[in-house]
Amino acid sequence: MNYLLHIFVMLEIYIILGLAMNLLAGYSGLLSLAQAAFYGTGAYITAMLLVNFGYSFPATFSIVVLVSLLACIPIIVFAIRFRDLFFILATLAWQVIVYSVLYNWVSVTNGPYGISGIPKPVVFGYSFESLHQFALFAGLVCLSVLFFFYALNRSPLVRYLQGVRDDQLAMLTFGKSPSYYKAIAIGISSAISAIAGVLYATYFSFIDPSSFSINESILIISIVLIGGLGTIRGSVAGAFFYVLLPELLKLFNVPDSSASNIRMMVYAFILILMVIYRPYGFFGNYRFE
Amino acid sequence: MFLQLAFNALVSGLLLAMVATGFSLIYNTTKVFHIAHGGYYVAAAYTFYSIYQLFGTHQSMRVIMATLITFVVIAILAVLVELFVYRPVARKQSEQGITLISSMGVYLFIVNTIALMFGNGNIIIDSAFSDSIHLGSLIMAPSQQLQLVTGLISLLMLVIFLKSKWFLSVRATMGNQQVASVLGVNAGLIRMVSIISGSILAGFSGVLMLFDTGLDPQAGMSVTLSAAVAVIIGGSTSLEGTIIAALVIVALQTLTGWWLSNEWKEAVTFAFLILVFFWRTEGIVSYKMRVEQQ
Repeated sequence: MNYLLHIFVMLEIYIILGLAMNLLAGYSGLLSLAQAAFYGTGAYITAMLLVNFGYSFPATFSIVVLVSLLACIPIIVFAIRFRDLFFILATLAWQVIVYSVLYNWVSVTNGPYGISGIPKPVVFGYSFESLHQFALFAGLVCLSVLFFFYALNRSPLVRYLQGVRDDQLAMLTFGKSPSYYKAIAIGISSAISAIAGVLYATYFSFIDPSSFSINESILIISIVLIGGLGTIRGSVAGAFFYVLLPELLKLFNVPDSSASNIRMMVYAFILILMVIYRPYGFFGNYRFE
Repeated sequence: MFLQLAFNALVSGLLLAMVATGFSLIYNTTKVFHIAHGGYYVAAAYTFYSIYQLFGTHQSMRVIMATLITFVVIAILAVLVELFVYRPVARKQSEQGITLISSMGVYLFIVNTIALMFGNGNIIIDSAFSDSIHLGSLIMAPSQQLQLVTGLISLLMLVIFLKSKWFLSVRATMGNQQVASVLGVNAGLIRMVSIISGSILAGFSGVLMLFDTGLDPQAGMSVTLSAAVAVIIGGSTSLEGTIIAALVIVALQTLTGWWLSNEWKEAVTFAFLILVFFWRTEGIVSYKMRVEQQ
């Protein structure tokens, strides 16, 4: 039972990350390699506020969302002018810089040893201590993020973002600045990823930089690419696929030592097949042409 | 002290320049942002290592065998990837973002296959071919002599290749593949040759690293990223610019290692990339082209 709950929590975290990525890649057509940087920023700020400064959980949560909105300003400044490859490179640069800071600024982030002893969330006197309670809490957060994206999906903002994706010239003709909407998309994506970071940090109560490396960014991209770009059910399906694939591999009695490598091999293979044969992913309505 | 640092930077700069020119060759002909380059880098090192261990004790014999077999293995790998991944993706006229993703898939596949077969540990070949050479205060370690000679030879061969008549059709393919093939250039062959030679350049850089500090399956990514930065900074169409940029980047990384610590190398490399984005989007050495800005 506990094992199922663990999978459930992981699923919730990756659904949130996938939705945040989908807002950039699927709706706005901007592939970003900095998702793990956003995610890691959120997790580290949570850890520092809860462990070093002793803030309460609701305060931490709101500060994390605010700070992650501010933290993506550099990326907005230097990536906003580009699309396609150069946007990817600029976000990649941000990812590498954030990772290096997390890894090397030992006096603040404790470097490769990570931060431990992060308390479980306590909201208005109610503590989500056990696994059941935490799964419930994460489920609530995940549901509200899903609800947020449903609401966003019906709002005019998404039309503008799709305009950035499909035809920037037309956007300009209608007097809408593509850069403005790109900045909004990056900001929202950063804040939502940081929420996933809050869940991650409080769930494992230990974080270290290796969870927020460039490989994680690639995995998050592949989640939305396999699931499908531009739809909510695409990202959810991608997250399911990513989290449940190792469980499937367990049926074949793969030894633990090689399990992670085989999992990545299978995953990479499926990614290549998807790119060649089904660029829309399972449930997408948009592809990079 | 300073002389020694400069020499070290020059030697590692040559290694990075090998990877970067290979990257540039592939990037310009196939338009694939070739993250899988790091996969070839590691694959070559591991192939060389296992063949080297396989063949008994005869020193020159095992080096020659290992070199030849690495050559063949990397070429076959490059052809397979071109035929089964890049060519189908290119036929769909995919955006650069999506070819980059396919390349990442290839990278993950190669690296995890290697990690599965050989484990995640560091491999290193620890055999001195010759003694260190002392030139005044300058010390050239055996691995550095090897790197210097191989790096210079391969870059020299590249320059000869650049001046050859045949390179004209490569440049035509770089400029516009469709027009080139209409005018009778065999674009498919040129893509293939570029991918093979680019991968071999990366591979031999990896093999040279084996004699120096050794490497592990994950080592390819950071090298590829530095090489990619060198290609972009050097102006993506110019091989000379790429070589210069590789030397500059390694000089910068050496200085960082000296002042701060080696761990900040990558951050400094990418901070430099961002500066270049602000300052000269078209790269240091550039022709009349400019990146599409939006």
